Amino acid sequence: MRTDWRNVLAIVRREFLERVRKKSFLVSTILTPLIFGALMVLPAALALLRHEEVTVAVVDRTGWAGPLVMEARPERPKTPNPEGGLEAEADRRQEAALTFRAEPAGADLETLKRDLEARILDGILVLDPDPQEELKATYFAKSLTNTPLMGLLTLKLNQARLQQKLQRLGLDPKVAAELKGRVEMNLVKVEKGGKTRKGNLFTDLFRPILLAFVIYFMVIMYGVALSNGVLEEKNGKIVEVLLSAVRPFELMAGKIAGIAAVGLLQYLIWFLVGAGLYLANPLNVASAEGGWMRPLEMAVLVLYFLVGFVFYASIYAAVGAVCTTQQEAQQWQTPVTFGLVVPFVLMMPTLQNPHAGWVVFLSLFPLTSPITMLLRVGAVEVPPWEIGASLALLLLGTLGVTWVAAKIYRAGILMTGKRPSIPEILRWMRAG
Amino acid sequence: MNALEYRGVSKRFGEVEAVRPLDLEVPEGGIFGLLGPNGAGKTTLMRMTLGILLPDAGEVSVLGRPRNEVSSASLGYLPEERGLYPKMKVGELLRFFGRLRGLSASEASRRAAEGLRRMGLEQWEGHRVDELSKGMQQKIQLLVALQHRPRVAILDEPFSGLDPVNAEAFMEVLREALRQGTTVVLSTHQMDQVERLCHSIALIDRGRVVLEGQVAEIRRRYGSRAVRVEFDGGEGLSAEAFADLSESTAFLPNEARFFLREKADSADLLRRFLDRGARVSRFEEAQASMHDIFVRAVKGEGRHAN
Repeated sequence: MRTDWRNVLAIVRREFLERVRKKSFLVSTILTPLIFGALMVLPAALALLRHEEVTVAVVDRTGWAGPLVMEARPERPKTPNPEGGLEAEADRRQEAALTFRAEPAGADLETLKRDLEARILDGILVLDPDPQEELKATYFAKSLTNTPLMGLLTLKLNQARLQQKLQRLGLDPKVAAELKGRVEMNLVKVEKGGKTRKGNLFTDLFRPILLAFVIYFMVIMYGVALSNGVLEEKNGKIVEVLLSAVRPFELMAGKIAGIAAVGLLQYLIWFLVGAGLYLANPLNVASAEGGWMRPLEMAVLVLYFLVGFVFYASIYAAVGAVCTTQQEAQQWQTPVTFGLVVPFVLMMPTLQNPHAGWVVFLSLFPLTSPITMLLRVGAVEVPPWEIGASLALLLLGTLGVTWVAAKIYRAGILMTGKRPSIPEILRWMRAG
Repeated sequence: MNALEYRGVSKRFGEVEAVRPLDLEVPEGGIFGLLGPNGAGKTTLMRMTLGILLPDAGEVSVLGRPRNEVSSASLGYLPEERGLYPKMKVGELLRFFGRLRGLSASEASRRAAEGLRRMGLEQWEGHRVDELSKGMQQKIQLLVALQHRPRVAILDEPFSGLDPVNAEAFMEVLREALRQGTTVVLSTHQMDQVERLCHSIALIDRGRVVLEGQVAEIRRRYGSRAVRVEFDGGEGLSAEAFADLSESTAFLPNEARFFLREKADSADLLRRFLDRGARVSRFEEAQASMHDIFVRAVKGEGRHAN
């Protein structure tokens, strides 16, 4: 019997409509971008929230550093992150929440420690003279996890040291103000044909990561949904009615294509909303400049999603067919995701060395190529032949995996009770 | 032409021989009953007929053609357990299965609406399957099996979960299918149903056909060999005393039931009661019910196998 594409189409249609109408589709479509946005802005925003009043005792044994440290108003070097503004605001609030208590040079450390115990004090800063560095500082506290506070204290210490050093060298303390300045490096990305555009961390680092994230989540989310869908049909005996009408391959192909269509619809919604936001730019974000996706990136994203999804989805379908309970399926789903997790873990080194041999290998190897190639395409100009070869290999791998998965699926889908052993599964693969 | 033909069909699952090499013919038209105790191999046989399972050996032919050349449109199936998507709307579910059985979109819609009306479920069209009672779901399953007017419909335990009210509409749809020439093969445990509905039967036990033929003919064959005696008094009246005449005997204080051996005469039975001083108030040669025949055939088969 040949594959009847009308059957496949009927299954695609059902799968697509049932999933798109579910509330979970609406929820994930709205929530996913919100979560991504929150992940980027939240840490800085949270830093704004918690600024309890902090009192630090300063025990000055140098005879000069105490007042300088307490009066220092250091400026943090600007970061080019989109949330840089939030960080500066967080610093200002940290500064406002900090009170110093000057102690005499001979203050008893043990008494002060009791104040820590009684929560009258939050920290003790002991300043000692140092022949080489002018100043040695020791910080005592009950908790050493308030890193923004400790960072601020360090900046103050260094500013005080600089002032003292200048004085020692016989220079006007005003020189310190002159020295405060900093050279910022302008980032310019040189593209094909010598074209240049202003670079920034958002477009050049976050975007490739975002694209990789999108593929990673979509494949895992929809792969697991597929696996569970197969399991539902199997345990509900729906599969018997289905298989009395259609071939197992038609069923599997229809389910995979139906779910892939759901994923593409979700992409399309995000893309249209994103494009709208980008064009309207309601927050007037300067860093959005150059953030527009290039056609090549878009094509690569869609192609790798489609082929990569079919690759992983057929494995997920086979997993669903072989298992009998959701828990069991979860155990098998985890190793399947390794091919996606590995390139994800290697994300930063990949972006730092996008042309290194092992990176090129990962972007060609079918299990890892969807993610690694997306990272590379986002970061640099990848030679077209590499993209072509990677896609061809992925396509070949997909054909092979689908062929094997279809056999396992066909044999496993009607099995009930005990899960088959690995040798049994191997036998099914050979049997055809 | 036979609706279904099995030639040397067998299937084993690991150690278990679910169906031993088996030959069977199901004539076209009417209802064919597939009977047998649990685990006899009925469902396996049905699955092989539908192409859900492939036989290890032998051939299944449908309407005179090899099973795998038969279009799915000519078969219908109602599985024993629920084979419906619980979250799907009833109307959509019927249309979906209609399309898989080769109906066009408009025809599938028309048949779904018509089927729901016949079942008295038209107001449930937009509801989810899991909002329906068990009996209503079973009616939907019958529509799934019959709505595309298959030549052969295979129904595995179709009457389970049906209350008498639901059963009436259910039977009406089944009769309509028969009028249109569908051959129905069903399995059931309920012997009274077999007597009322089935034209022919096959009794299957441990993967073998132990009894097969037209219901009327089978009952004739076993018919007059069941005897019921009501009596009073008498000496030495026990099952052993009749072992030479009856192959299965049940004694109550004032009543006895016999199943006569092939060559035994009921007159000898009566004479023995009178010889032992019993006063017989009633002597009746009853038609064996399908239930008696069923129990006896399965028991007999067990004895041969041991």
